[in-house]
Amino acid sequence: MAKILVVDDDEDILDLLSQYLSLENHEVMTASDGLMGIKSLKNKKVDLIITDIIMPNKDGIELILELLDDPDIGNIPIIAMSGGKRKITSEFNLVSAITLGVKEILKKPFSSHELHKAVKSALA
Amino acid sequence: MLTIILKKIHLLFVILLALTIMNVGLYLLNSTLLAVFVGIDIYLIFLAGCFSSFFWIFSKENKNKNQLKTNFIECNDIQDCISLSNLFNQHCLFTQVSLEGYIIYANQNFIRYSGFSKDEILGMNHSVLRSGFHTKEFYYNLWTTILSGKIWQGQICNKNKAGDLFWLYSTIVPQLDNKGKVCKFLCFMNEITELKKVELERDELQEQLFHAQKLESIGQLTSGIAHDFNNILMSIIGFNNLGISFFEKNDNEKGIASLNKVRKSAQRATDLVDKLLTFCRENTVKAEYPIKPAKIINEVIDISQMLRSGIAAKIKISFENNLDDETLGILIDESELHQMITNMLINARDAIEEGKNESGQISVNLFLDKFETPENCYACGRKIKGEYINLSVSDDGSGISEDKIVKIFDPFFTTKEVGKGTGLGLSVVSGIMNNAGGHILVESVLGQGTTISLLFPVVQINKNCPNDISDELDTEKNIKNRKLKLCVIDDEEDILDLYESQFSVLNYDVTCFNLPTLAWDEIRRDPNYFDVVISDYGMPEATGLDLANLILTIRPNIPILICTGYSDKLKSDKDLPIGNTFLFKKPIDVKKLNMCIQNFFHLTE
Repeated sequence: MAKILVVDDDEDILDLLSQYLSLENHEVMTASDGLMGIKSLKNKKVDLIITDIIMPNKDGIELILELLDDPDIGNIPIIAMSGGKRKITSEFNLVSAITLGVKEILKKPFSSHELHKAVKSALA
Repeated sequence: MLTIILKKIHLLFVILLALTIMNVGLYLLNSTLLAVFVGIDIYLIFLAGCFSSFFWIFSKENKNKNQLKTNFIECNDIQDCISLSNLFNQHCLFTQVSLEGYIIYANQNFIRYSGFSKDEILGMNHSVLRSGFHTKEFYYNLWTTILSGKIWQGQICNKNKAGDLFWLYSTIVPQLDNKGKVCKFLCFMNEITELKKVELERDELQEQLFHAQKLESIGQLTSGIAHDFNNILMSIIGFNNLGISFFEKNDNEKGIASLNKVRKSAQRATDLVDKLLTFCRENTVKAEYPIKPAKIINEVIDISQMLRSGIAAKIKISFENNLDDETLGILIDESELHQMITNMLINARDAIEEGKNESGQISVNLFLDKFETPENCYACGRKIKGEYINLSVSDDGSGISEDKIVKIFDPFFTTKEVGKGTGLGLSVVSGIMNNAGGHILVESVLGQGTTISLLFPVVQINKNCPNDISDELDTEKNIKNRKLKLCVIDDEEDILDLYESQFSVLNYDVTCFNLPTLAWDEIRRDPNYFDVVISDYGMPEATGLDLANLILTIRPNIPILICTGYSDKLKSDKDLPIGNTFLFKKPIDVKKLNMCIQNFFHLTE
């Protein structure tokens, strides 16, 4: 069972994903934006990061780019999720997301089944 | 003066002539002919004759000239009347109307346009020509103006005998009798149907443009709204599934918590849709009451929340209201204000994204701006002087170069990439500001950011003036001076009789209906007739609540008192629609109803 950091600015989504992942016996940490995400990563190591793309302060793309620059945490698998299309298609499309090291892409709304499948494949 | 002097000189020479003739006579009588004297005399006669005739002719000519001058005026008094009357009849429509509006006289032109015959027109009331285009208030204002002895001028849409509409620009002048009282009216009218047609077509085109642009900005918002909606949907579906699984495991506590989350998310969705609908609202309520500063900034906050995810989430938006004087406001249609703010926020966002600015910041400011040295409006070019309410949106984005600033208000001009903007946003903002009598200022530095300031004319807010749209025509003062009109609805005749007798004693004017549909028909026919509605809750055809909801659509502020015996369905005032609705439990005490009404209209001593 893995330690997972979930980053999203929507409280309800954080709550839901925590519950989904806890049911599969994962240990979950949450952060409300990219900045908080980086902070919590400095305190505790995780096995997987699930991050939203459109967020205030530091968005998902900035978070991913910063992670890649850091040798300590650069190899942590990442799952990117988003409900909006604008950013994902124009600046950060699926192909470039994967080349950046993002293992899986989840489009909101997604089911618990889809989440577990993505988590499994990202951790494999 | 000159004529008098000339006359005197003329007289002098005539006397001289007479003396010379007398002299000649004397010479002849004396028979002493002295050739030299005779010669001199003849010479004198000739000279006198010449001078006298010259001055006579000269003075005569002058007299003629002066005579002509006076004649011209005298003569033209009549001629003027005739030609003026001709001109008038050719150019104007003219009627003379009695105090009650009956036509006493109408010229040919008026008769022609009205489509009636002369016999039909005379004695006909002017109101027969009413087209239904104008509101009751329009005619009320017209009549109060002219009855108070003042001149009224304005455009009136009339209907001729055949039912075709025609527009007249009218000037109505009250005629006073010996005592100085208004006794008749003179109406001078010009036919402006064609002009009006062009004007209406232009308005319609402008409206279509505004609407098209509004759709465009909604399109711009969809990605943001879709993002929020997807988050909400995910919560709803997810927590619903979690809830089911908790209940299956008999974990009721967690199951209920999940269901509460579902409800909360559904509420978020409702709020989002509500905000979107405010923006899409088609039936714009015409600006009748000024919007207060606090309300303006609330609108801005509402819109930016709706835009939050459309505007990249990391852009910070700050609001500042430095206009704490709530007696000042702006007069503008709310939906137009929405449209302008949305356009400006979208532009600010795009400018920040274009500028690839890491720390995007949009600030919205509201304050009272004084222009002591005039500045030129960027949209209309006119001079801005005096006090204005300034609503400005600043960004730290890419900025606009000087050569482009002059073009930003042109329709279809855009600084954005192809496919990102149609170039209609600021053009619409400029159109709306122009209609509102306002101005626009632009400050921009390439690479540093842009500030667009909307300058609204300052409107003083009357304390009694409702801030929200209201159709209440009656002021408190009016109500104090007359009987309040009650509309009472109950399906039980006995109860109706009771209400009627008791309220009549309390000096109300009561109208009873035993069916909600009958009451609705009456209220719809004349929405402003009743002051208060008292309705039963449970009735055939529709409940009191249904009726209240209907009435509130046309009279948002009318007090509605709902009496219910079904305590389980309507528990408190909170279950009633928003508005001035009050709940009363049966058995009803008329005294309590009366107290509620008296309090509402501040009639209690």
